[in-house]
Amino acid sequence: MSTDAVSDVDEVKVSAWYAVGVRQAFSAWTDPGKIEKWFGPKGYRAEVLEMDFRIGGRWRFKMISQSGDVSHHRGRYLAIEADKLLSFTWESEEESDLTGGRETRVRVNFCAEAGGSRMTLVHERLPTLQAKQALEFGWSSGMPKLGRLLEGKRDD
Amino acid sequence: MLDRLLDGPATVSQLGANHGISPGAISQHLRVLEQADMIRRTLNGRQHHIELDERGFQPVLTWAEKYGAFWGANLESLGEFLMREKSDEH
Repeated sequence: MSTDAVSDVDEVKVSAWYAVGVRQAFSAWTDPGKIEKWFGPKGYRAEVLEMDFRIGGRWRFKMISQSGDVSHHRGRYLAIEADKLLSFTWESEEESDLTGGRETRVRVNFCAEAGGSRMTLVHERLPTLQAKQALEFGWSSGMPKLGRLLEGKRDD
Repeated sequence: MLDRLLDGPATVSQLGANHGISPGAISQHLRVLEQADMIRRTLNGRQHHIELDERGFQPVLTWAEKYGAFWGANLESLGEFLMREKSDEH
């Protein structure tokens, strides 16, 4: 996954196929009771603190890790198209250094594929505006190389 | 230009070579990269030596690594949930 993540510098893209219909896949994101049953990596549990599921509406989730670490994430819904598309802003409250105080954006697409559904999630927008501006000047293929360079510097 | 810098430090004129970009445009690009801590400049007499500055890139890489892992794990959790939900229906 992290290899995918560095191939496009200003976005993270993940995709998965599920053996359920798009309606069921979509509802896992729209029903607070369902969200609390799956949201978060393995070992985490989620609580939906606020969820005004309409365009412009706010959401706020709490995530608790197995070791008891708590984090809060929030945003606004930007686009909702039943069984097709969901887009919302994302800010991680405890990690403002990662989202740089900016609202990053998550877009989730759902489409029927091979008797099930494919979900593609893109989390986009760089943490800092400066970084984005700088990279817009013609960055092409250097990311893996850059990764290795920085790994090397970390080892120093 | 950044690609060229991955191969090591370069002078401003080396960076401009083979690009067909005017010296003015080059120095504008360099200023933006410098503001973002993506390059650093050292003066050697009248020559400006440019090299990559890891400070500017680290937050971007950390961000991509962290959220890549986070969403990857989330999609797995979702898959497990959907399968449980499906078997409950039957």
